[in-house]
Amino acid sequence: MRLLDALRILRQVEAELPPWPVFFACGFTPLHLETLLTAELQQRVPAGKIVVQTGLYGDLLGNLGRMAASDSALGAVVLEWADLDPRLGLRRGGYWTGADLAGIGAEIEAFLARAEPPLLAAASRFPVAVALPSLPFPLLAPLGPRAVSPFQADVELALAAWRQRLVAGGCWLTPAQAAGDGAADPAAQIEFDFPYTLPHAARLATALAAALAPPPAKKGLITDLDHTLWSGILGDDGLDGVQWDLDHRARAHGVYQQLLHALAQEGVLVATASKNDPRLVAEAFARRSDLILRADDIFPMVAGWQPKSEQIAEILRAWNIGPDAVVFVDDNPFELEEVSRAYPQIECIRFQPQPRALVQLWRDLRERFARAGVGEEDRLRSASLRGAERAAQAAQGADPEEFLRSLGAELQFEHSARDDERALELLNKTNQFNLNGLRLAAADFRRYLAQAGAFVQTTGYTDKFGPLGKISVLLGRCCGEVVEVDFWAMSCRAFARRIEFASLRQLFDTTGAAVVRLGYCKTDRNQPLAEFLQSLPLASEGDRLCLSREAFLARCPVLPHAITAAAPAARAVHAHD
Amino acid sequence: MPMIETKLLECFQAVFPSMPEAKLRAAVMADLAQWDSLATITLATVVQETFALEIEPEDLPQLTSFQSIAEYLRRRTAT
Repeated sequence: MRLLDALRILRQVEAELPPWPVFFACGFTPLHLETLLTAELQQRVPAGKIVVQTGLYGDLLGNLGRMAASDSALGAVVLEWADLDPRLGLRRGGYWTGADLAGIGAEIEAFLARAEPPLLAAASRFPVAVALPSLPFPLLAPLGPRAVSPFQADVELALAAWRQRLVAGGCWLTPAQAAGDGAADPAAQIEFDFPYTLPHAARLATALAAALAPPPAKKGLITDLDHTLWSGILGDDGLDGVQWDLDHRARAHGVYQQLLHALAQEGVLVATASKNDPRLVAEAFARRSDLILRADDIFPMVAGWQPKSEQIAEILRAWNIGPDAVVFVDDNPFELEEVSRAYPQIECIRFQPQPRALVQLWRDLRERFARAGVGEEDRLRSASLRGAERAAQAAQGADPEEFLRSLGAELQFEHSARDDERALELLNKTNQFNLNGLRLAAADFRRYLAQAGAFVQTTGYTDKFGPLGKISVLLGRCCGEVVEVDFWAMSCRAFARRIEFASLRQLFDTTGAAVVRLGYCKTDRNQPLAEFLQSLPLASEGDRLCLSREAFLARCPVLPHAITAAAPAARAVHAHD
Repeated sequence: MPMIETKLLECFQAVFPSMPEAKLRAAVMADLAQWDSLATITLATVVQETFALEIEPEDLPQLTSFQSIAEYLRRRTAT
């Protein structure tokens, strides 16, 4: 990003937007890095006005403490060598000799020890990104530039151990930015105490903003087969003629399969869209045991002679996710264009087997599907979709009540005031069954739960087709006999199982409430939630929809679920009525 | 308006967003409270970025008004 563009972005921000406070701590003059970082974050958080606080100039340790005590939504920290010891910088270098190296090493260790607690304290409350020194290492040791000196090796070892502790403590460490002549601006460092060239400051700002405010991860990847997943054309070359290994100069396809296999294991939905005989494709996945991407990793496996956009339509229906959450990979520009025209929101990426393009593809896909961790629900996702399909097929023609009873469904409710990563993920990623579409940052989630009477109720589900994991989250506040429900989201994989009714029943039972007031707001995508609410005897009261326990129970259908792990205050067992 | 003045005006608008165009073209550091040391550094950086040149530190003291900067840029970019 150019500085001029950053200034323009900041000029255009509406003053009425809610403030989004960010603490930026560094030991030098923030200057252009602050401007670029603010603009980068503003682009990523358009619903708020980024307001950056930098603390006191020259007091990095004090600023880390101020950051830890602040009410910030995000924290960004940039360290340079001079922060670890002033003798490592140009501007505040002072007098030193070779005999001082041991003392400088001790000073660095002391600085790191002092900086760690406030950093970890801040990271326990809101996302904090840290950029470690990216300027060339100062050549204090007599060895000069020709090799790494013992002094430099010791400093880097101390920094590496510190970095490991920061990562374990929840800080986001930005990837190492290439040091070298392109990073440092000695004139600006001496004149203004701003050590970076503009391009390097821009790179740092982008890295910090990407760590702090990443875009939502994509959910599904649709891949072509011929000349993409494998080298060759299945229909022409036969089952044994398609390749993906070094011996056949097709290693790039093997690397691609490996990445897709890893993504599938991490919960990314992977499907195929191929112009091929579907029986041949099924046979390939059944007979080629050397395939790295397995049949189990793929759902659904679509192949045929219809346009790819129609194949993708079939996949989107099976997945029940929006096209904006999907990436399509194909080697054929024609296919990419056809899909792109039908689905402008799908990100279309061309597969090219050349090594440089392959590495870029790996990076692009890892970026699109990046997530902080892989939970049990992620691993269950593909299997649960298959289970849902089997359930849907079993339900065809069956009596609905008998079918629901036959599922052997179990619900696991948890009702607490503890923050829950999966609950927050559900709230922020679910669109269709979502009470109002409001999103919560991690710090806001914790602040919400800190209120008197606040709670989070989550629901896990299992039936004979397999587990779905935690699929519903409800955030509310108990106010005497009334419960205010401020957030409610349920995964679309849980539809048609009356889990929404069971969640409300559990809420009434656990809290003892006489009335539940729902903070509903119509969005572009929460029609499924709206349809559910229309089935309830609700009364409008201001901006809330009210539901009394009596009215709910009179309308509640038979709930066939067994409750296996009720909340502490709930009844122990509650079979269907 | 010649291209140099047009691009220079964009730089000034980015650094002093609330000032009207006529005032910017007549801007003089000594008369503008907003034109402090931070604005000087930011303006110099934006000008360097926009015109793809490096301003020598010894040239900075003469760049104290819109017109003086425009004149400086005309000299630097003349072929």
